[in-house]
Amino acid sequence: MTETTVYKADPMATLKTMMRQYGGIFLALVVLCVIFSLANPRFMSVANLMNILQQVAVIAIAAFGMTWVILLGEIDLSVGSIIAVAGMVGAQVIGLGWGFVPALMLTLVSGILMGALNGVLTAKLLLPSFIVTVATMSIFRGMVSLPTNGAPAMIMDPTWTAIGAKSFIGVPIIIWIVIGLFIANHILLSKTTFGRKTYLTGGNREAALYSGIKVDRMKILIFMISGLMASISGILLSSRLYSAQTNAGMSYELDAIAAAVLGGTSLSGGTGSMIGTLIGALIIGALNNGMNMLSVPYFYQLIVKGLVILLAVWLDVRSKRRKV
Amino acid sequence: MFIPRVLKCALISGAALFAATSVWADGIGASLLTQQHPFYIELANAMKAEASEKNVPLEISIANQDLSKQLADVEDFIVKGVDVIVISPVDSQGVLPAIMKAKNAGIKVLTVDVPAKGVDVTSYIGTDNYAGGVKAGKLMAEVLDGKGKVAIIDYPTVQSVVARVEGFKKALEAYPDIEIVAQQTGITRAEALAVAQNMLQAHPDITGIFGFGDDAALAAAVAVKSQGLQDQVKVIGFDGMEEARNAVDNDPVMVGVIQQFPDQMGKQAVDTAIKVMNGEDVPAEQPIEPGVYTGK
Repeated sequence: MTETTVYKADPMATLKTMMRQYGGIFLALVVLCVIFSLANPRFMSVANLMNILQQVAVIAIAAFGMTWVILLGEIDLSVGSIIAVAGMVGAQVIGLGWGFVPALMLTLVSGILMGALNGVLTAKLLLPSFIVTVATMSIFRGMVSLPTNGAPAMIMDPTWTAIGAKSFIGVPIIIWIVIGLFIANHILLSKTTFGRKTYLTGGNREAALYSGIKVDRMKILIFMISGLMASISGILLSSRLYSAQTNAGMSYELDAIAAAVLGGTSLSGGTGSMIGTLIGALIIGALNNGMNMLSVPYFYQLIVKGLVILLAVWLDVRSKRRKV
Repeated sequence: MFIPRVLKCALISGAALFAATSVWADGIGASLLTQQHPFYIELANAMKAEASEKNVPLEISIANQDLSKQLADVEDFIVKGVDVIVISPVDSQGVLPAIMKAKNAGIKVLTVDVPAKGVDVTSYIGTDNYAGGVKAGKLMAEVLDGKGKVAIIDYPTVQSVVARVEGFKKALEAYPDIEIVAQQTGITRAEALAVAQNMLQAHPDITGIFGFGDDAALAAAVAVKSQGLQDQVKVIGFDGMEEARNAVDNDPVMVGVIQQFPDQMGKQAVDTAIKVMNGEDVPAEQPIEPGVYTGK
C-alpha cells in the first residue's frame, strides 16, 4: 500500500495517473465554477478570477506548509497564530524604521523559529503535535497583542503594502508569489530525496527509521517549513490590510487543513500532493467568492461551505477507492 | 461511473443556490462589522426595511469582525458592480485599503457607526458620541443633585468612547461640587465588574458611576449591589440596548442610559446611499443625536 501511494505521489508520471489522482477533486472545482458562472456571469470574468486568487492566497500558502505536516502524519494548529505574529513582527520592525528588507527577513525568521519550536517540542519531547500546536496556538496568539496591547498596528512602508496592492505584467504580485511558492513546494516534494523521505516517513514511520531516515530531524524541518509558509501568508495578509491585526488569521489553520484534505492529502500521512492542495484551496476560494456573488446570506455560507467540503472529500475518497 | 452522480449533486446544490439568490449588481452593498450584537442586528434590519420600502437592491455581507473578510466582501461588491458601498469598519484604520479599492473603482463609500481614518468617504453616519456624553453628564448631575463623587469606566483606545467620556466630563465642569475621583478601563463585562469593585474599594464614598457602554454599566450595577451600596451609588450607561433598558426599568441603581438609535442610523444610511446614486450632494458627516432613557 505504501509502495503504491509513494508511486502515485509523482504527478508527472502520466496524464492518466494525474486524472486518477485529481480527477474527482478537479471536477468538483469545475462543477462549482460552472454553477457560479451560470448564476452570475461576472463570476468567470478575469477581474473576478484574479480576485479569487488574491483572496485565497493567504490560505493556499499556509496550506502548502500544512500539506508537508499532514504528509508526515502530524498536524499544525498554530498556523493562524503564526500568520498574526508574522504580520506584527513586520509592522514592528518597519515601525522601528529599519526598512523593508530587514523587516521581511526578520518576519520570515520569526516564522521559522515558531515552526522550529513546534517541531522540537513534538520530536524531542515526544508530545503529540495536536497538543503541542494547540498550546503554541494560544501562546503565539497572546504574543501578537504584546507590542500594541491588542490594537492593530498600521504599516506605512510602501514596498510592504505594494505586495498586496500592486501588479506585475497585469497580474497581482500576490498571485505571482502563490505560483512561485507552489512550484517550489511541488519540486521539493516530488523531485527531491527530502520529498521522498517525507512520504516514506509519513506512510510508515517504522520502515523509515529502519532505513536510516532521521525522523526527528525530518519533523523539525517540516514544522519549520510550515512556520515559514505561515509567515509568508502573514506578510501577504498584512500587506493587503495595510496593518497587522491582532486577530488576523483566526481559525485559518482549519481552512488550510480543509484545503489540504480536499486536495486528497490523507490525515494519516503518506498520501497527498501540492497540486491537490492548490485545487483544494481554489475550491475554498471559489466557494467564498461565489456565494458572495450570489448574495447567499453569511450564516448560510458557513453551512454550504461545510457541506461542500464534505461532499467533495466524499466524492474523492469514493472515486479513488473504486479505481484502486 | 461517478461523473453523472457528481452532476446530479451539482444540479441539486446549484438549484439550492439559485433559490437563495436575490437580485444582484447595481444598488447598495453593505459590509457590516458583525451580526452577533443586538446593535448591528437592529442596524441591518433597519437597512433592509428601508431598502425594500424604497425598492432599492441591498446586499449585506457580515465581516464577522475579521478585517480580511471585510476586504474580500468589498472586493466582491466591486466586481459585482454595486453603485454605493456602505461599510461599518472592523477597524477605523485597517479599513483604508478596502475603501481605497472601492474609490479607485469609482464606487462611492459611506461609513456607518464607526468612522474611517486616513481616507475621505462620501458621508459618515453615526451617533454623536460627544453630545451623548454631555447628556450623560447632565443626567448624572441631576440625579446627584449637583454634588458627589463620580467614577468612570472607559475604553481609551476607541475614539467613539473617548468622545463620550470627553462630553461627560465637559457637562460636569458646570457643577463644581461634583468631583471625578476615578477613571479606569474595563472593556468586557467581566473586566468592568472587577474595575468597578476596585474603584468602590478605593473610594467607598463614590455616588455615581458612568459606564462607557451597556456592558460596563450593567457590570458596575452588579458591583454596587455586591458591596451593599445600592442606596448610595447611581449608575448611568451608554448604548441603550434592550437589556440595559430593562435594567433601567427594574433596577433602582441603574438610573438611566444614553440610547443610540441603530434603526435611525440604518434608515439614514440607505436614504443617503439613494441620494448619492441620484447624484445629489450629501453632508460629509451626519451625526445622529442619541436619546436619554430613564425608564418607562
